[in-house]
Amino acid sequence: MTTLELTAGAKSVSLPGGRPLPVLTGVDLSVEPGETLAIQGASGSGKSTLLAVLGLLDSLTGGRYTVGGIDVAAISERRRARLRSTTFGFIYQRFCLISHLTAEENVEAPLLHGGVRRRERARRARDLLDQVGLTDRREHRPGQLSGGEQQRVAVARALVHRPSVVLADEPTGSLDQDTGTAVMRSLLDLAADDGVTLIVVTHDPAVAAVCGRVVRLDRGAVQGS
Amino acid sequence: MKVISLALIAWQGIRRRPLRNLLSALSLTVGVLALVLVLSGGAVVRETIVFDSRLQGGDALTANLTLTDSPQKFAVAEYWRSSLGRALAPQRGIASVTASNDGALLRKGDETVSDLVVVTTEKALLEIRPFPVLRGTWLTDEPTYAPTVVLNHRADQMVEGQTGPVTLVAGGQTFRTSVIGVVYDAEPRPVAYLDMHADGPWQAAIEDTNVYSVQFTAPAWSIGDARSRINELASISDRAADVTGVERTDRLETFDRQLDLVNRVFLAVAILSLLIGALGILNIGLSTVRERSDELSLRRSFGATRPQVVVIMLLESQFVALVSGLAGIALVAGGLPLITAHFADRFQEVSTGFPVGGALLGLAAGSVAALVGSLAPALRASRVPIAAIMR
Ligand SMILES: Nc1ncnc2c1ncn2[C@@H]1O[C@H](COP(=O)(O)OP(=O)(O)O)[C@@H](O)[C@H]1O
Ligand SMILES: [Mg+2]
Repeated sequence: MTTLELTAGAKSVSLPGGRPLPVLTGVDLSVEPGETLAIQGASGSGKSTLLAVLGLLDSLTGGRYTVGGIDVAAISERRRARLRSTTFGFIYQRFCLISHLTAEENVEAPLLHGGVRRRERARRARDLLDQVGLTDRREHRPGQLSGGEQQRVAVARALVHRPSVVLADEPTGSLDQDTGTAVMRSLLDLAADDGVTLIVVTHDPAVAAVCGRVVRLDRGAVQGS
Repeated sequence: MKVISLALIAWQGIRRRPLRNLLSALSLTVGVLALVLVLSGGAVVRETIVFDSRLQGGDALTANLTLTDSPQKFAVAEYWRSSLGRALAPQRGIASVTASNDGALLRKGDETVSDLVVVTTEKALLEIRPFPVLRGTWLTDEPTYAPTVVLNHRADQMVEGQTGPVTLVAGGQTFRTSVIGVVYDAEPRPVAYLDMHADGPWQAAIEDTNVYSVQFTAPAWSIGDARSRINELASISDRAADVTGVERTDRLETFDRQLDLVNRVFLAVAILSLLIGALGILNIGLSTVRERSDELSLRRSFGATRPQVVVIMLLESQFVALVSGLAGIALVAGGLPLITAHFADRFQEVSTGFPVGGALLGLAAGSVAALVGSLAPALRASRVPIAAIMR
């Protein structure tokens, strides 16, 4: 189980012309194993950037970030890639399934990169597709699935390699209320089953309400901390 | 991460745009095809042409000294054969008398061979033009009482299936002959070879219309050398009037030049279409990187490193190259026997074995072209920022 520890996390990006734009300005955040955390905030407040930093998709320009006690700035790119793939699962607002792969192949993809053997890959992918209620859609491509179904495939994909932390960026943002609720339900259930830490960026108060803790971002900083 | 997993991911990527990949494979296929054809077909064609031109014209340098028609033409030919033979002895050259005659016919059963060439010659001709003997024997020096005849493959084909004796019709007379052999001489016309030293009435019947020449090989001479030596010999013995001309008959050099040109054209086509194939892959690759940036970011988030992304993209193009290479080779394998058959409906051994070397080189060339075309897109793909997927 992995504790995430962000101390004075700062991130600025350089605008065309070289001028720096601060996106995160000293974020302190500690996330315990098994916790469910909602991140809220206005559009452009830095939620996605924070999630990217937490999931090692992006790096800080200031401050310190440790994953399970490992300072991620101190390790090689290779080890970071490994830490990223073993620790985190991701869910995106746009689903981001690979369009030329079937639902099952999409779910298997993280395992393929992780070097899991074929039989085991198929077993785990089917198992998770069963759990999100897509048993008979295994052979379908994303184009043949509804938005809710695609996001459920994404949920399965985020969990298939048994990560300790799942990061979801507005997972219900592209879905209607009922569908979004159903998807969140299965995500929360599956995460709770395995004691997975869940960090959800959301605009939806109903989603925030089922999370153990809510953090508000405002212009790159945690509000009220 | 295992190479097999990377290959599997690349293979899945191929399925993304099957038609596009097929089209870029197509231009590579043309390149591979042209290359394999140059390398293997070229060799077969060359082998055939070299073989034929040696039979027709002899090795370098072979020339024909044509002699003026006169009542003593046989004696004149004999004179020139022996004096040229002496001159050529130090360089292991050979001279042989040949008389050719267009005025005779050959008959067997119901078949009449009318455009026959009767070549009266000597056993030694075989040393200048090394005909393969298909059946029986070449001319021997055995004395005979009936005209012994060796047919070329054309004449043999024309009387094939007929029964009864073979007769020669010349000067209004008919001679029963005995066919002692069949040779492949690469001539397009039917030819009957008669022995010059066999004496008989048929000789007299064709003698009048025989055109005499002395064919010789001179390994150490150029055609210019040959002409000046013959002029020299003619002026010493006051026989300038005998000589009609000295013409080179070996054609290897000319054929070689033509063949070389054809090969160059094919090679240019090969290189050009491989280049077009590479450009096609480059074009598709570059436009694909943008389309696939989500997938690329995802794969990075699954733990793929930048080098692994490069490998995946390169492997995708290598699959395309492999498919084109195999298609090209299959086309060659299917088409080569047809080409060979066209050039070799003769009686000679042309190696028709599958051109393994050419095929491997074609595969390699396709692979290199694909590599060249996909390198830039692959590097670009590896630089797609992972966090791009969040936006
Ligand atoms: N790579 C980047 N280049 C330029 N601007 C960026 C980049 N990443 C983030 N930003 C800016 O930082 C701010 C926060 O972005 P983001 O984290 O996506 O916000 P949120 O997800 O909360 O809407 C936005 O104004 C965005 O335009
Ligand atoms: Mg966002």
